Amino acid sequence: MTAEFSVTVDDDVCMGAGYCYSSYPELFTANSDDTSRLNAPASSNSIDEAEKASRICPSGAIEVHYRKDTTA
Amino acid sequence: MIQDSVSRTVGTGLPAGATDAAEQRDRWSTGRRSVLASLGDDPFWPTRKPLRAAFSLATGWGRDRPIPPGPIGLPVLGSVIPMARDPFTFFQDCHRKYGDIYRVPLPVHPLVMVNHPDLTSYYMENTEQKYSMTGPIQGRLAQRLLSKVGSPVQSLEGTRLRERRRMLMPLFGKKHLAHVSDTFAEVFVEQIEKWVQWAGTGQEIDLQHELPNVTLPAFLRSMFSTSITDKEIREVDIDIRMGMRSIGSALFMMRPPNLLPLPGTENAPRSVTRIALLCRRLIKERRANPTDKPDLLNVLLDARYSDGSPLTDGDLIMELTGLIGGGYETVVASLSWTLALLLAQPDHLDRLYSEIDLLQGGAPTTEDLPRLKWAKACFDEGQRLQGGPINLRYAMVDDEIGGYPIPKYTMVGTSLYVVHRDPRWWGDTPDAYDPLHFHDEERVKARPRLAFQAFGTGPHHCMGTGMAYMNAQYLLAIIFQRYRLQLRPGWVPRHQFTFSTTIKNGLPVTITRA
Repeated sequence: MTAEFSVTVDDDVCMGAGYCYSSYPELFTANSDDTSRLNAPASSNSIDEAEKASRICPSGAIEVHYRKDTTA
Repeated sequence: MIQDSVSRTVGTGLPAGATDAAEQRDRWSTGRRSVLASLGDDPFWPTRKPLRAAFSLATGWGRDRPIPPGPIGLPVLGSVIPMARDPFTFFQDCHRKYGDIYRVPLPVHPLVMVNHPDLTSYYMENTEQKYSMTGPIQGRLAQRLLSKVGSPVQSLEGTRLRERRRMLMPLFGKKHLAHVSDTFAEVFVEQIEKWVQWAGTGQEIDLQHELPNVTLPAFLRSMFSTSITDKEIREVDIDIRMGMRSIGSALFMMRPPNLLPLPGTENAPRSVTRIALLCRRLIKERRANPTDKPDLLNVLLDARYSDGSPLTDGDLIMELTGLIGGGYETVVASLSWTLALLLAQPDHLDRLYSEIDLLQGGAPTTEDLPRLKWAKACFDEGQRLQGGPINLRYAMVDDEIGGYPIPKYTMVGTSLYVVHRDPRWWGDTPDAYDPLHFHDEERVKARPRLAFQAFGTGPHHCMGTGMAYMNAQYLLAIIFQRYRLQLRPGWVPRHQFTFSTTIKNGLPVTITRA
């Protein structure tokens, strides 16, 4: 059984502190108002970076969601 | 690269000499011998902690070594006097002399200062509760007492902190800022237009003293959707500053407030009571007359914990008081610093005037914020050079930073004043006001993220960051759409610790029409 995950940025909550896109530019990009958006769906190689970005996000806007893949 | 010009071993998270020191731990590092050996590094520590010293000698518990370098200070008092007299210069001098980690001898809790961004990240961004912003009140008894009277978000840690922040964050996200943006802009315009009474008269005014008359009514109206009387606004200002003085004096860096509740005087008990009663009245009035306005009070009243329960009245009063203090006063201090430095730089000012012209004289909206990038950079550069003297956490477990043991209950701090002037991140002229430090993306990318920490970092990062930027960009636009400000000739700003970092003796300007 393998675990898959997805990353979301809640743009209603994001305060635009910029920690995510300055530390992990491969995962996040700044919008014109300095809030953050995901570049593309995160790949399995980027789970550590996504977790770290979630931990340092001062808005709590970045969430990493895991779901169990029962087909594996 | 600025970083490459530095030869210290900080890139590995260790200060110069710490690796060697760690390797040299020997039999003098533990047990009774360590107590004697520690006298060589910190000869007066038994006078600050006589019971601990006697206990250590008797039991062989010892004092963990190596001890970070640092000033020796006086018996009993340690370095309280020079630190209280001018904390900015004191920490700057210590950093130059002792490097990225040093100790400051103080009574009660020892202090270790950590000034490299990597090390600051280690303790400030720790999410395992190894460090706490309010260590002395994290005990079970203190938390039980606080839960009876109300706990502001600043007093919480761990799961409770995360949950409370989740409830409060919608107040500060993009969506809610768009709701309250017009209220801020409207009150800013209303209050700043009153400055016309001074325009062209040549009369010098203290803008730092006047700015609360602009920001506080705006914040209170966006919070409560109701007009607070001028008398109440003045009293709130007094009460918030009294609270700040109380905290600042506990850190040995301000004179304590008047604690005696004598009639006819401003004192701490009166301020605490008055602001709590004002918040309670506004909550009661809202409950009696509910509205559907998306103001801060309604968001707080609607906030729910994960089990569906609302904030208690005590928590509501505490949060409202904390939000008022954090909301208006910090912007006054940082905008005063921005103006004090910006007004002496005609080229940077001209660029700001040009940017503001893009608004064609209209009041700014949230859609204009991306067009006010230079204004934002001017504000960040002002905040950089404002730089508070210290941002503290308490070690809640025995730990180690940069090769030095950090015993439980040690205060660990970073001086923003020092980090924001470190030539490794800010070049050879770090005291020069240059908004390009923030406007030039290449420069931003070239330095560590925590070379700039105006809003703190980690679990207690300032929630109002987006609101602060919006306020600052609006204020700069609205002021310079109407006026030109001139500093007193030859005047330079000086730092003053008033819990936030303000300008000593105010910001003297004369005003003319734009």
